[in-house]
Amino acid sequence: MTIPESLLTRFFDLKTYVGWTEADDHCSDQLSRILLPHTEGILQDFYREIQKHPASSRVITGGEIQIERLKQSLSLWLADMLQSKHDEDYVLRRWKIGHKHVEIGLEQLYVNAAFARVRSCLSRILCHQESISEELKFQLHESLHKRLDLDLAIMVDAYQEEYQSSQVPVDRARLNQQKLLALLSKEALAGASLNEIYDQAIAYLSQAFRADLCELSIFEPDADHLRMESMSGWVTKSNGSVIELGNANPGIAELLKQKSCVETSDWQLQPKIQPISILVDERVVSSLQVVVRGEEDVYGLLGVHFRQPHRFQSSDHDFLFSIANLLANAIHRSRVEFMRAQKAQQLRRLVDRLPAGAVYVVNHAMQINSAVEQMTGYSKEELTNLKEWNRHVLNEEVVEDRLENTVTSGKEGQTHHRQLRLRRADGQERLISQVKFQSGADEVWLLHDITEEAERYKNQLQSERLAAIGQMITGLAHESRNALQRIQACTEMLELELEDNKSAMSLIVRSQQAIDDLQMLYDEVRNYASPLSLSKEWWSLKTLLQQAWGQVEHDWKDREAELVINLNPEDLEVEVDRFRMVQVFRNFFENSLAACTDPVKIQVDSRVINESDRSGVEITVSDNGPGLSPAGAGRIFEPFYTTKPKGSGLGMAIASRIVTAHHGVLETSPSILGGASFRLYFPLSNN
Amino acid sequence: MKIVVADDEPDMREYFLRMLTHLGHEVLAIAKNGEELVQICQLESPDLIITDLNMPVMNGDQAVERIWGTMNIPVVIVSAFQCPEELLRNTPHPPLRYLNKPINRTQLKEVLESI
Repeated sequence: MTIPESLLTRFFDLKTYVGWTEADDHCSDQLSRILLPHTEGILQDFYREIQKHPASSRVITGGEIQIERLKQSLSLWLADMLQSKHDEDYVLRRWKIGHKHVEIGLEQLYVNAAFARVRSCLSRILCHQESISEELKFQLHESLHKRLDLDLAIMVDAYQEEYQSSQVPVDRARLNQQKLLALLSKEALAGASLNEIYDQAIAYLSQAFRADLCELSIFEPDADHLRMESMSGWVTKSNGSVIELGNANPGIAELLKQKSCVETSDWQLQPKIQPISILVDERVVSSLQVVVRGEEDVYGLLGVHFRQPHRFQSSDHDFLFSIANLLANAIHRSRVEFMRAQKAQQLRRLVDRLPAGAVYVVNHAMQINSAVEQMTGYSKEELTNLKEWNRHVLNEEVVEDRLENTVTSGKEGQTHHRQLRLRRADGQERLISQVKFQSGADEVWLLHDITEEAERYKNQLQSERLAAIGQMITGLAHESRNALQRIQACTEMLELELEDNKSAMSLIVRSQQAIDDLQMLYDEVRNYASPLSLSKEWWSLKTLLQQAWGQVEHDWKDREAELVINLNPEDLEVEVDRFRMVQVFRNFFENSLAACTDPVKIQVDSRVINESDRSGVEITVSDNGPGLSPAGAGRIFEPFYTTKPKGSGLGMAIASRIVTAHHGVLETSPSILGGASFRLYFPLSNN
Repeated sequence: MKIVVADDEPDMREYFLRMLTHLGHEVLAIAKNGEELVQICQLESPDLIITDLNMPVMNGDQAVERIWGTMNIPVVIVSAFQCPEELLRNTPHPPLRYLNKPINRTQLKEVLESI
């Protein structure tokens, strides 16, 4: 080590400054003679005091042996200070001692204090000298102080030089840190995943600090713990380790409340700070930790640790803060992004699971939900734009029934209500109600399949119309009774008058026949239109058939006609309204007897059905007549449809109505006798 | 039988008069409404009453109820309307038959024979 030229110059300048004279050189012998014999006492006092202060005792790492060695050095130093000439060598020796103190990390304050202690010790010894005059005592005092001050000045210079030389690497480190920070922000902004950013941050931190350990642990508030997400240099913990908070680790819990950088340059020197157990386990001595914090939330804890005493610079604090802020931004951004994605997904699920068809159209491109897929039979991939929609699905736009100007959330738009006829992928045609909300360039459609609803509505409308007509007809039929009665009465009176006039009587008989026909027609219309109220009881089917056959006796008594009742079981009973059901069978028999030529055969079969999906009674009435034409089979149950020259066309319509009222089904079927056949099915009644 | 008839229709009044006579019965009187029927019955005490239901001044069923209050005379109702249940509920009552208009002489003959 070479002594800086300036230092030597300054030393000699300082000697002038403190007023060093030749007399001071001469005091050397006397001071040595008086003070050196007390060296042992001074040494003991000196080291006793050092051991009382942790900051100064810390530098003594070699125990008693080292203290003995140090005492030696101090003793030599004392002699040197009192005796030696102030030449270049002397200044160099002093300079080296200064550097040694810097090296072992003794703070300058303690050097000053130690000097003060030695100075006071030496002064006291001088004061107690009785063999010398007061004047000499004063002179020796002055000289001693000058020597000590000059010595101290060299020591301080050494500290000063150390500080200046340490400044250069600090600046370089700061520059380096800024570069790393810039790199990290660039990566964070480039959309790297959180874990990549964590790992980069820890890699940069450990590189920038040359730290023994670094880690980032993320706070999980629901579980009240920290999870170590990224780390370097740890022996006792690994990635994913959990650090419990609460009572388990009050030190860390306390730390998370901090807003600033928490520096612990030496755990041993700061015994009041609660040591963090996991750091103690890692034999960490110095730590710099900062809470990674958003505007409202604590995200985690970022730490840099050393296993040797380490002095942190303020730029280190700034750097760690910058990294922590950068991480906080990345975490915040990621969490906002996650919540946004979650909301978007929830919205997608809502639209997709909507129990109504939803379509979004923008620039002719369209998106459909699952309900539309079901409605149309086409997949989302097959219906991606309006062109495909028009080609595959849309058959015609039926009605545009309403157009409303609405103001929704401050934006003007139009709502169209219309009905569409769609062709499904399987060829089926469906009627769809469409509510279209049009706003700017895009459209939202809400679709409902109303095919069944429309059918029901149509039927309801039809039955309402029929009910109204029925009411009118019933009224008409009733009102006509009195008029018919008068015609009947007058005809009969006329008959009395003209009993002997044969040709007039023939006219009266024909007129009477017309009255009867009109009366029957009115009765049937009334019968068809009036409300049906059933009074159901268990009846033998055979009895009902025989009653009906009996009622049409006038149609068969003079003919070759046969009714074959072929029931299984023979005594089958059905729960029906007797009067109405006899009417049904009578209608069958009347039709058969009207259609068939002799010999007429009508056969009634039955079977009990007991299947998994239905159980009931099936009755088939067949004849050997010409049968029904295909067109006739399709219309036979329509009111006023008839093939008979004198029929009302209501017989089979009434029969169908009665069977339906019994929750049964009446349909035409192939005849076993080659003519017409009707099949009745009654479900087994529970009540 | 000695019969009293009530109907607001002139055609029906004539019909009953001629047809009942033709069938061998005696028509004591013919009323145009229920009130007349009550008055006639008080004077004549017939074997049978044939009446319409819906008539001016007083309906047939009201008249029959009034008559049945003092006399025990069988009744045949001939009407376009259903037989009112009040009449049937008035028990025990004299024989009561109901014919729904329009009727013919065969039906008329049968109902008279049944009483």
